[in-house]
Amino acid sequence: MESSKWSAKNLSDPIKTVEDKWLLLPAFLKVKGLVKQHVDSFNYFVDVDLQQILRANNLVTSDVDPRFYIKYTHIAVGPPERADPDQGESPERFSVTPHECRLRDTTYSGRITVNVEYIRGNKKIIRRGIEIGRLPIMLRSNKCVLTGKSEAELARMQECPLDPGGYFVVKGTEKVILVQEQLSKNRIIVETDPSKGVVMASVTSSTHERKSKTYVLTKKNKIYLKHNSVTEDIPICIVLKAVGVQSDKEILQLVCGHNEEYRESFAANLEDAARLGVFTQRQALEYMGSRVKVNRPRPFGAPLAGTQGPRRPAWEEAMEALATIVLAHVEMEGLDFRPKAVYIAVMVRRVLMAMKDEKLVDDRDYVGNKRLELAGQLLALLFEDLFKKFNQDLKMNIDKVLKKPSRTEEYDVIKALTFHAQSEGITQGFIRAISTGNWSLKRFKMDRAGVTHVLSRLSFVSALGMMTRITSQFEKTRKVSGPRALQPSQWGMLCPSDTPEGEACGLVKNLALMTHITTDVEEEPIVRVAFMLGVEDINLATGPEIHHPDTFMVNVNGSIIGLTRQPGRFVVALRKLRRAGRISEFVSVYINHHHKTVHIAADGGRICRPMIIVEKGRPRVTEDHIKLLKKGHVTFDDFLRKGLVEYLDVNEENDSYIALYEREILPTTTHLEIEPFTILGAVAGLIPYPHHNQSPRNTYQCAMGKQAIGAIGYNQFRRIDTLLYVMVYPQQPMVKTRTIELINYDKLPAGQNATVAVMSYSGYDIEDASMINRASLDRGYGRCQVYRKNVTLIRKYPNGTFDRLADAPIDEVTGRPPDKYSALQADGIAGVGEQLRPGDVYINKQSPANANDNSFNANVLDSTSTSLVQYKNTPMTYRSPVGGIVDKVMLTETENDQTLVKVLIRQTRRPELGDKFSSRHGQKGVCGLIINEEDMPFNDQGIKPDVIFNPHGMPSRMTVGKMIELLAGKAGVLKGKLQYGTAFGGSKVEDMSQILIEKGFNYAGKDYLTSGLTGEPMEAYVYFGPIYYQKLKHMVMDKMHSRARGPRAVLTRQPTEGRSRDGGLRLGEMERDCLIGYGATQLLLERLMISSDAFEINACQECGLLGYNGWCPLCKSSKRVAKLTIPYAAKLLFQELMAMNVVPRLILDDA
Amino acid sequence: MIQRERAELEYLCADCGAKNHIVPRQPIKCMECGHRIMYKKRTKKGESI
Repeated sequence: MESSKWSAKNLSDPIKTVEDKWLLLPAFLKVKGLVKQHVDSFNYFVDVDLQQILRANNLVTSDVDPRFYIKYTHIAVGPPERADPDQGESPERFSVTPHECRLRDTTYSGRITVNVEYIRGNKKIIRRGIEIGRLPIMLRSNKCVLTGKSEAELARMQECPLDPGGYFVVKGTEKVILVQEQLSKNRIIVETDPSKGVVMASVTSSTHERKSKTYVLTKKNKIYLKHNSVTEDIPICIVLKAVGVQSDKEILQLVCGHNEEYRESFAANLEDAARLGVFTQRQALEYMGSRVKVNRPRPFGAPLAGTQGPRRPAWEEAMEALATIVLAHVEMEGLDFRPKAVYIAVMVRRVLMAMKDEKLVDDRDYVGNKRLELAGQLLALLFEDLFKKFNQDLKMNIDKVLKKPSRTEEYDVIKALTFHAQSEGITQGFIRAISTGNWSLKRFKMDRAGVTHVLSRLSFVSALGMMTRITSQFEKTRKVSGPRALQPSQWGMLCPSDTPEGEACGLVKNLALMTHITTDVEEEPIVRVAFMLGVEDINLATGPEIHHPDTFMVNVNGSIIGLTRQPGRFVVALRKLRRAGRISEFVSVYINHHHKTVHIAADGGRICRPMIIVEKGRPRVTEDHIKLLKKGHVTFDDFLRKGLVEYLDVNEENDSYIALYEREILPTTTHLEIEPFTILGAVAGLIPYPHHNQSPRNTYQCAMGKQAIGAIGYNQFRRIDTLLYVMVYPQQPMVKTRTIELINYDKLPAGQNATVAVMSYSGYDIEDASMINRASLDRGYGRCQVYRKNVTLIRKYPNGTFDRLADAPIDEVTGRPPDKYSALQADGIAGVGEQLRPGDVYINKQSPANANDNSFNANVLDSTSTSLVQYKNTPMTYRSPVGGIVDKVMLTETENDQTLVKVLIRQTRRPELGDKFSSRHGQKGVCGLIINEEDMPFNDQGIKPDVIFNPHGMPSRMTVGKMIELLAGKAGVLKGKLQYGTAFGGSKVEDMSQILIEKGFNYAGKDYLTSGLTGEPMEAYVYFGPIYYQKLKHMVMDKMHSRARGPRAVLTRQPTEGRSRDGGLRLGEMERDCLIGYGATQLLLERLMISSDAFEINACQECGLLGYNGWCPLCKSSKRVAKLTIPYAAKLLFQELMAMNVVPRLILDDA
Repeated sequence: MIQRERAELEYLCADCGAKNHIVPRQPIKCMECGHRIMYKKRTKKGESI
């Protein structure tokens, strides 16, 4: 456009800014996507982690035959396959699509195969591709059949191209492993307890073998080491001596350096060790050894008595504990304790620092101190556990066979291996964990429930919102507000708006639009690079060098590797290498000036996001790059490779100087934000003009957006879900946001653009009720369809009997089947398209009466003679107050050869009084009245509103965004263009007003209306225009309930509870209190007893016990037996008390 | 209504759309392609109206 000016540019002309740099965002989403973290994590697990786990557990030996071994050499996961292959010889006979798994209630899983090497006889045998189990495959991961397929191919597989993937299909249900938030492992966290005056540095060490927590803490101003494996806290100097720092001077230097203050407060600890008579390493180890908890497992085959085996001297125990358990993550070479000594010294120093300056404690809630655990990591833990169990069982089996003195043939372990694989320990372990969500791994002391959730398919956004959700491991009951509060460091990483209200508020979070979660990056090359950049080995340094004012300690993933005297230069060099692509883009490096450390992080689970690099005050991304991007010549990865853009994690972000807008770049600026609206997540991104709303309103909308009825996917009519809501005529919003386009909400919308008049009408609009135009409803506004799945198994029983589908029975009087069977066809299942009325039978199933009788019975075993088997009717009947239509009938076979019948029943619903609607601004309301179109007010063009919204909903809620949405929507409608309400941007009100003026409307969006009731002009102008309205899933039809008389519970004879059981309406404690307060005794009596569970008893006034028929069996008389009415529950209580040997006696008095 | 023979009902394979018959207690499998999901055909009832 401005190419003509290009040559004729003046020096004083403003520097061209990068227009449309937001285009990097769709480019980012193309390569990373919203659920990429799940997929990446799963891919990492399958491709890398699985091999590592195998390598760590690759050998199974026998205690009986020392020559025997079986060694796993390779592991691989195959593409998803059917467990029951179809006949036919084509290679596709195994291949299965996720949709088939959903329909058939099977698991979308691939085979895990291993290559093994083992001894048979005297020969070494190598076998490849032995199946050991099946692994559920994440959709859209690199093993999934959907990856890399075109839209047409996906359509052929009945899959929606917009479906994000990242979940599993287990037993036909879609399951998501939610992202779990945790405190980072292997990092020192310093905390204080001001009430007790305790300063504590703690580290959770986590390695493949072991998990343990080590504390260095103060008690009465002296420092101790606390660990689970030692019975009492050990004075820190003894620990340091035990790890080989013997002289007091060396300890002092290692901990305090030359700092006089620290030396002073540490001196007491040195005296402590001397007082306890510990001077040498040997003495220290002896001291510790007597306090170490020993629980060595009994060696295999050892006698039960004397389980400990030979006891080692105390000093050896201490050495073992220090080497392997305490600070397990600090790597040692042989018995060189120097790295541990330095690490402990650093922890002590951090404690001393926090004692002197209480500001130097760490913040647990700081996002940089957190790690997110994803599906891959959780599955890795699970697999490791299952695989170890598998090997254990295998070993037991091998030992059992090899123990036999003589065998007929050479022992071939493959048979045992395949036999074990067939018992499906690994397969079932995965399926059980994912379908129940219980991750209980004893080896890691892990027992988590609720790890997985069923993917919510209420609408497209709800499914998407679920994929970005993060749950916290903190208890919900804790009263501290810290973990729930908005953390400044979550800017750009976690959505500030999208969190539930109530119990889980602030604990359940959502990822922002541009975040990525890292996976593990190999550590050794980075360490090598660090040394090449001039880092000096920590093991060669002494205390004074470590704590010299100019030296900085270099950490890689929390373990100290060395020292540098030029931290700035080191960090810059490392970043240059990263930008050049020499090390992974997800390695972060930053300086902590308080601790004088440089941290390099390459571990998985860090949250990071991309940013434009700024050099010499100029963003590296220029207009030319964006042009290339627009043409599709480059992708986001090219930007990364060229060093124009880089990922920053929270810690490195804190070490950078980031400009929000290009005009704010200063000489010191290091980075530029790609786009400010990416601080919001996918769900909050649907809100137009959210920056004009009161913050809680946006949070409310985030919750409601997930309940909106709309489209759920292109394959929505192919799916058979338990409950599926679909809108009949969904529309994309008039006022869009960039996020809406990025997440494809415009292709799968959930709502309609209603023409709204903001005015009061009829008085039926109080308390947020809105008026709806009847003619709009006739035209299809808010119309939705509800699909409900009904499943039954036509089972075959172990005793040879089976269920059957029967014809409709013939009524003897009329000679025709009764009306309730009218939908059935000859196969005993309702026909597709048949109407069902309440009470109609749609599957006329019959089950054998003796299905569970497994006793030997010749008649039953002969399955051909069905005549002798008695059948009882077990039909499926349609239960709903309104009629429905059979939409689909599917018959299939499950994996264990039972016939599965799924009947999908559809209802079409038109909005009615009491249905819930909401705009996109947390403004929910119910339909208060449906108004005939002729009674609606109209403007001078004859336009009538679809919805009348009560203006009283605006002042206190302060949802200005809604008003701007109306204005922008109106301008858009008049101009024939969609408008944008993107956060921190979007169409300007001024421009919208200009359009309105051009089209001959009032600039403020107000219209002159004529009353439809009186024909008179309205006394005021009315704010009038389109607003995007969502219909929420809460509909009166599903909730409406009343009862006069009805079923009662068997035990108490009180009315049942709940709508589904046609229950009564409870007069609860508070209502009862009102009646007591008012003194309405007769009403109380009626409500609580007569209308509930009144029961007539015979009470004996002589003994006070209950009798019957005017007779007291205890007193053997009927003289003083009185009849009275009490609640049945009271009678039940008396009898229960008697059963517990407590005598309740009734003492009667005249009322 | 006349009782029709059960075998007369036809089902459609979810994969290839071929017409199939289902025999009780026999595996459900398409004769053409071996797919194991069948759908019932739409009812003929009320078609004349």
